[in-house]
Order: sequence, then structure tokens, then C-alpha cells
Amino acid sequence: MLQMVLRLLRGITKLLMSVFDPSKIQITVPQFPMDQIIGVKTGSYTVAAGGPGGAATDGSDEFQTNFGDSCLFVGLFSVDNGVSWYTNGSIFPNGVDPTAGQLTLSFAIESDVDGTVSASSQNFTRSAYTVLYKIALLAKPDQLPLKPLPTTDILSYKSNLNYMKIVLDNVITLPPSGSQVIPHNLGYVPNFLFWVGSDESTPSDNRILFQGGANSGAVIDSENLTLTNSSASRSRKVYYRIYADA
Amino acid sequence: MLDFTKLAATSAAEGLQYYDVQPFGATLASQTLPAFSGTLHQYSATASVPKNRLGIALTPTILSSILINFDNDQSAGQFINLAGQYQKNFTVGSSGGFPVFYEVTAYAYNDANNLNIVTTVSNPSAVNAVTPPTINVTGKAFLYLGPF
Repeated sequence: MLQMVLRLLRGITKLLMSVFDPSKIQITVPQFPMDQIIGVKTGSYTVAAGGPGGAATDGSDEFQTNFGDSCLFVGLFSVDNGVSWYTNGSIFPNGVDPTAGQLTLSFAIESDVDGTVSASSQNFTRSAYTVLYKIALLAKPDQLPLKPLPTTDILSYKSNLNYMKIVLDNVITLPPSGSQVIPHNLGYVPNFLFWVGSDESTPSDNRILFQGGANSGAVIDSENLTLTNSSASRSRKVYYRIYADA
Repeated sequence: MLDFTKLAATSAAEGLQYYDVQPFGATLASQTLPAFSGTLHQYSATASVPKNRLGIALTPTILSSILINFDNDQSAGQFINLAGQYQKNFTVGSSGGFPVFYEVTAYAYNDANNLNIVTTVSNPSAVNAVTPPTINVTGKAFLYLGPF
């Protein structure tokens, strides 16, 4: 009887040790950091029709995050009440002007150091639009401490989902016309995103824009991301994020 | 007992949920584009990336990151991030002291079933006709769900 009790106690002790020994806990801690969403905003704004000869009108909506800082972002825009969605920085072509050529509506998100985030359009077309937008705010690598915007959504981190996995996350300042080669050495072409500081002439302007395409100055291959400052007169702060995903 | 429902107070730990990556391609065969004369002469190609490849119906509000190579602009194996819009002029010669050039634009949008990458070649010049080269567009689109 005594031996049975001792065996039972040894078993319980072993069980408790296995529970409280961290090396025995088989939870895989993510190897890579991931984007930290610190707020989500949906909204709309109107933009009047552009004028003859390609004259543009502007429309925008802005909101205050109360972060006391700028942040990174991704987003989508719709001009057909949510049937189709255009990526941030994209255009919606509609019509041709006899003198100005192709007419477009643009979409842009900006984040200011004072905590303001704006969604805006510049309308060269001859039509008025109601623009819907959806924005997810992402923490910068040098983000000041903040309280994320509240949401009614449940915490949606689930281990059965795959998340964008960050392998390089940094901010650099490129001198005028300067460039920098950032080796990632992954051996394949990985996904990347990047954001640049505004090229407005006001020195205190610390807005963050999202740029891509022909004017982006960012080219990636299987070994390097090469960033180039297209401005010959101003330095630029560039945030870049290279992911393991390919 | 730890109440996990309390973790729902913020979305601070949420990330961008990686869903799928797919290659895409399109070819814009060479055509002669007359000079702009109130009518913009252009031709387009659309590469469509299906969003339900993994058998899950997705809303149009899927986020994307598009790495793209225009073989008249980037070297083989090099990609830029489309990040919304691409617009660039390419000078191919001169005529009467005026440059002969063509313009390439590209953008992307979601509809109910596909992520569509639209590339257009046009001649915005009112001076010269131009014959752009055949342009091969290749790339891969990363699809992710985001928090919407």
C-alpha cells in the first residue's frame, strides 16, 4: 500500500515537473516577427468632378489616431460601393480629355507625425465619386509607445493561419540622389513593402507616404533590395520591410 | 483561470494573414500607335489572379502586394513593388527635334473573384506615331486577408 502511494506521489511530482518545466512546454514561439496592426479605420469621402483640360479636384477624409506619432499603413479604395477595390496608390482611369489625355482618379493614404491619417483622391475625370476606404495601421519599427485603437473584433491571432513573416524591418535615411543596397540573402525574390517620407518642401513635414511603381526607387532580386532616393535636393526617410514569404 | 475573452480588447497582436501567392504574366504585343489627336491610342493586357484557388471564397477586400517585372524596364530577375500605380515614359528616338516615346501604366484592383493587374501602353504625344516593343509583364501576387 505504501509503495502504491509513493509511486502515485512520484507520478504526480513528475507530472507537475513536466508542466512547470518550460523546456517541456511544446508551444512553438514564432521565429519571425509579424506586422502589428494598431488600428483599423473604414470611412468615405466625396470628390467633385474634375474640370475641362484635365483640371483636378481634391477629396479627402482624415482622422486622428491619438498616437502622437506617424505609423505605417495598408489600404483599399472603392468607387463602386464596394464591388471592386483598388490598392492604395492606385488609379481609376475614366475617360480621355482632348488636350490632357487619359483622365484618372487617384487614391492615397498619408500618416502625419501629429497622429493624423488621411485618405484622399485627386480627380482628373469628369465624374464625381463617393470613395469608400479601408485602412489598417501598422506599427513602425521605431514606433513610440502607444495604445492601439480599440476594436470590437476578437483577437484573431490563430496558429492555424499563416502570417506575413518579417525578416528585415528597418528605417534608413537616404541622402539626395543617394541609394543603398540592403542584402537579404534569401536566395529567392521575397515580398517587400516600403514607405517613404514626404518630399514636401516644409522641413518639419514628417508625413509618411506609400510609394511604389516607376517612381519608387526600390528594386528587389534574389539577394538584395536596392533603395534609391529620386529627389536630387532632399534626403528621405525610408521604411522597408522584407518578408520571408515568397 | 485566465479569461481569454479579455484578450479581445484590442487588435494589437493581430497581423496580416498570408493567404496565397501566385505568379502571373501578360504580353503586350508590339503595335503602332498614332499620335494623340484628341483620341488616346493605346492597348492593354490584364493578368487575373484567382482568389479562390485554395477553395475559400474571399471578399473583394483582400489586400495584396504585387512584385512585377516589365522586361522593357527591369532586368531579368529584378522586381519592383507595383504598390498601386506604375507610370513611366520610354523614349525610343526622335523626329523633327521631338522625342518619340511611349508610356506604360499599370495598376491593380480586386473584384469578386480575381485580383486584376492591368497594363496599358499608350502614345500621349501629339507629335509622333510610335511603335513600342513587345512588353512581357511577369510577377507574383501575394494575397493576404488583413483585418477587414
